Amino acid sequence: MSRPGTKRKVGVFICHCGGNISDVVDVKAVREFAGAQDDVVLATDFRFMCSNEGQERLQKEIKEKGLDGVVVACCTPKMYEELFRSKAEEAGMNPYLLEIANIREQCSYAHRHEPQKATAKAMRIVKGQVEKVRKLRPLEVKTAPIHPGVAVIGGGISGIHASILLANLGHKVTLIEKSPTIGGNMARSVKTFPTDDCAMCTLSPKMNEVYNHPGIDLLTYAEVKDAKRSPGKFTLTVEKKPRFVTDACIGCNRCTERCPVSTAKSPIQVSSEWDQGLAKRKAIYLPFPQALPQLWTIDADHCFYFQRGGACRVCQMVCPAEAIDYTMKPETVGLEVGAVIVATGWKEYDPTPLGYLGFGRHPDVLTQMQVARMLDYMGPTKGVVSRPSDGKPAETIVMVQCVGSRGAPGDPDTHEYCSRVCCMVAVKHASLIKKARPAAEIYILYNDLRAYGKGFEEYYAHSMELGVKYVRGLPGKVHTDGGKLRVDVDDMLTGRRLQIPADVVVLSAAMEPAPIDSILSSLHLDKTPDGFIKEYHAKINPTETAVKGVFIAGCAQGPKDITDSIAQAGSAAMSAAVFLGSGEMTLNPLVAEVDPALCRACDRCTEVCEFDAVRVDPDRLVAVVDETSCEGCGKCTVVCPTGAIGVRQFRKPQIVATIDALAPVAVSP
Amino acid sequence: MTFEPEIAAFCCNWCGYAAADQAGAAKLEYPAGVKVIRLMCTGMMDPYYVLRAFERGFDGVIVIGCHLGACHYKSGNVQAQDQVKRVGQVLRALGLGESRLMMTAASAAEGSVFADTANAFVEKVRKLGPSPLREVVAQ
Amino acid sequence: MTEAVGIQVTLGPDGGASPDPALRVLTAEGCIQCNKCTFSCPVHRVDVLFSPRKVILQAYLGGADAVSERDLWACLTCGECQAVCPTQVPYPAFIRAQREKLLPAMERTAPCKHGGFKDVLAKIMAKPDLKQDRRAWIGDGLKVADRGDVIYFTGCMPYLDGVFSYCDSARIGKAAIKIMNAAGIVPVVANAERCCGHDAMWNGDRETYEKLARANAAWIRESGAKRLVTTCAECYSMLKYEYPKVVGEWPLEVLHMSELIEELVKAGKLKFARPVELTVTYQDPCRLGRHSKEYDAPREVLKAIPGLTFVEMDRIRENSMCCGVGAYSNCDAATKFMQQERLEEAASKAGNLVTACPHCRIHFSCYLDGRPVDPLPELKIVDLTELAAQALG
Repeated sequence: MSRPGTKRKVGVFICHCGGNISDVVDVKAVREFAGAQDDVVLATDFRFMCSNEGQERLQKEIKEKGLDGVVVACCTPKMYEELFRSKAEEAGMNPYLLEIANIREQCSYAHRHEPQKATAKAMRIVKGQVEKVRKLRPLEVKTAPIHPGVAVIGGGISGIHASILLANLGHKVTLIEKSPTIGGNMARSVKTFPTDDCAMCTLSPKMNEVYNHPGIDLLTYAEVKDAKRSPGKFTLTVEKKPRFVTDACIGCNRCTERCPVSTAKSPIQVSSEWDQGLAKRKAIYLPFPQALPQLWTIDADHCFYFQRGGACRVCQMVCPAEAIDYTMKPETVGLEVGAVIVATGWKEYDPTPLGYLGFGRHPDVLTQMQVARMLDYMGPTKGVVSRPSDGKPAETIVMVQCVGSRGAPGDPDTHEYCSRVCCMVAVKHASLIKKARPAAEIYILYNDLRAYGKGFEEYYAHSMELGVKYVRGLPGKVHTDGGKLRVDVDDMLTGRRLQIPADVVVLSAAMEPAPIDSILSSLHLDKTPDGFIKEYHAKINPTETAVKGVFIAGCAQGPKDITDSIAQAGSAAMSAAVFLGSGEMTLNPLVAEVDPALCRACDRCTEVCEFDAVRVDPDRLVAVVDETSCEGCGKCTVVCPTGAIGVRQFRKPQIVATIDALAPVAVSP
Repeated sequence: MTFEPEIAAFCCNWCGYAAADQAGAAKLEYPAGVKVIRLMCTGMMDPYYVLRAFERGFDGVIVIGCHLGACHYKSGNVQAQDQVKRVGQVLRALGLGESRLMMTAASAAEGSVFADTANAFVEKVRKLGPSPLREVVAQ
Repeated sequence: MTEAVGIQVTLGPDGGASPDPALRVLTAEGCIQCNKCTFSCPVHRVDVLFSPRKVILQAYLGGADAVSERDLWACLTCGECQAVCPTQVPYPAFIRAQREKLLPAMERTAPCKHGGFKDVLAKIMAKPDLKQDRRAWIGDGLKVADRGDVIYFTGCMPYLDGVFSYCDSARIGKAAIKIMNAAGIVPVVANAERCCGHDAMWNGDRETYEKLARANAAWIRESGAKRLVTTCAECYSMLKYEYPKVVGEWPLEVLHMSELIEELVKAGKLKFARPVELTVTYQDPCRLGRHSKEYDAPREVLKAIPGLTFVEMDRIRENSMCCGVGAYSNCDAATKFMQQERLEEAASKAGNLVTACPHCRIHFSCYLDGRPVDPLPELKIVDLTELAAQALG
């Protein structure tokens, strides 16, 4: 029975699905039943609604009968809801007045041996959707123009690669890097597996390309503090930290040479981040020789001038270019872009909590990143892997795999996931050491040796030819007493217990995401349980995120090597380009909406919303939904005492109509 | 004639509903008395829907969402659990009993979980008998 | 609300009685369009376009169906209009009759708030085969019986705390039983009880209301009890004044808890031994006050509680302002302003507002649980029965 004055014209189209439905469900009976429902002006059946003919039929009836509601009874809406809606829209009906009645997957398929019951159920399902459609309102699909420009957060290889691609395509790119130089972790990698290319030699040209590219605005020593979303646009607040060194710097290095910090008697000592704590640096420094931009930076937290009230001005005094300016202040920059690529990379897991491995207790227990610095000819040990305790070259090296990775579920000190690259890193470092010093004894203690990529297995086999020893087993303990190291491990393949005296123990520590929680919350990004940024879909869409316009690349999304990082960065760049190129984005209309006449401004909806999508306007005293943030989950609709807030297409009366129609038919006794 | 329970199954779009589709696609069968109602998220579950379903004559209600921690909308399913617990207490006071209401999880890949859940729940409700709220029923 | 005695039948367009039952109710007394109703109406103060006088005029000129849906449901049925009307036009009764007429076309459900909870609860309780557990909230130390002379009618109390979690409604019931036990009464709390049907009736669902009324009448009559007492003003007005119209006269006496307490104190059967040092003011519930004309018993109870400082608000008794929600069907954007107004008035008199209806308590508590329109001084909402139980010592 319809309310007076609200007569609708609903058309019901029942698909046979070539027998998939009609072999079980009596579609003619359903058609007749549907035709008898209130407001249904047309009920018809057809062999394949999804075929061209079926769609034309749909469009023809919409036009001729002026339908303002359609139910297509067919397969699951996940298949063709979007298609039928777009066809309906072409025919002049609002697409959101169309609903699918799922009488295949949830009826004919599931009740093949009960055709009578399946037919009765199909009738109720169709009625349920008819009742819902009678209550549906046309929805306006809003679009918003997409602001030009991309912000790439993170200046490692992924960020660099994506920036170059996008800038070459003509997009305005702003690359934001937290540290004073771009390059990321690849710059520290010495050589890359399996090709043994010099990492810096392959990276440097790309760094230069970014630095010199007219289309890329490079902001280094800068951090994204906040991000606001509005339809088609991200507004980023970027804070540029002061270097206290101006562009006049000529790179002569005199300031660094003269800086008193970290010298033998200096009360202020700074460990070098670049050298992974194996060496010290000065307060004024260039991170590494090929750093870009080639600008020195004063670390104010460890500088005598800043820490001792202006006590020291040595760098300013010796600088021939007058490039030192202690008065520089942090600068806050607002940036408006249409897309963001998050390429914040990774950091190495700190194995200190794993006391049995001795990291942090004994100086000769190292991580692979530290060994990478040692293998650098320009590094703290001039290319020789040596014992930090006494500087002697290490003759016996034991590498331990899976440190911090593949841990027990629930263990608070380790991660459950596999960090993917550490096997190859160990193989690489072992091979490099062996080639430089064939007499060195190198053991790799492993659980599984993962050599999955192109050329990896061959590289690994070659390392065995070089004499690297592989022991299947992970150590029970690294003994650090008595000054010398000894690694106890059970060799699973031979069954023997080994006690290996080692000069240096190298831990293949896990890859962790770089600290990104502030960016995550500003951009409303999620994490997967492993702590990395959540991609849109693990299989089919690893570079988009649930936030339209935000893409991810590289190790920010999950552990991977340089090859895969570059591949993913390319994919992210392309996705971002396609997104920007479309010019406008459609806003999902199936989100929450507030009827201001019913709103009590009681704040219950704002309390439950996890997307910060609704707030109470303090002047108008009504709740207001931000349609770009609202995901349409409907939690708010349950706590709202007045029914002011509802999710379009899933409003309470619409769902209730479906419940009533599906309910068993009551017959008066 | 054996009593055929009528069950209202509230399923979230991303998991429960997809699991129901998967069950059908895998040709797994369950009784036709199970009627699926599509929600975007179990977070939309209002106690009213449960009570309305019983008032309209359903014998049992299941709510099927994503696994905890995997909700497409972060934690809609956590709110759903709360609401289901609350309405369960109302059902107990009404004398319908909490056993006629159940909430569980089935991801999009778990068609068999959907089918098994549906089959088991129908049997459970069959033993409980028709809901005392049912008026005489014709199909 | 007690309808005017002797409803006169108005002439319809063809000279016979108007076939419109709602219009018949309205025109039982003649409206003189003086507008006093509009200026006493709490909804009008917030929404200037809402006017009872205008609605009556529309109905006179165009029939009851000329009244808009918005106007039909915005009315709180509080009766402030009728209280000041010189010709006693039964406006709330008209609204109720018109809602009843339109309800089938609205497909069974009035716009019940809080997700339709109370509405569907009532409909479920209207079903014949129900075996409720209505005593689980009672707890230890309180005595109730299956049979006896006094029935304690609890209404929706077993279900309220599930949804209205910012308010402990069961405390009222426990206090009531404690008081009765202290006076030597072991009340009957029956599992056969149903919702009294107040919301169903006022929202126009006559079918559900009459089912509930008949179901309740059956077990109440069968119980052999002599008195029925309730802590809810709505249940009271329904059982005392409305039920007889549907199920015939009662063989038992219907009392509001305040009336019972007053009687017990005066008879010396209840002693308030412990002083309650609070300053309180009192909200006359629409259903106890204007609808049932019981203004005095609650006041006598408050005066009898030692240590209590009782300050009246300015708008009291037949001019008391409604708590802002009528029969759970019209809570909306305007409601918060009404509640702010009344609570500001209460807070200017005392730190505690005493209510004699669990629904006033729920509605005011709901407002205080959210964000007030303007900052309010600290105000606690407490039920009269709870307060009396505190004074027992």
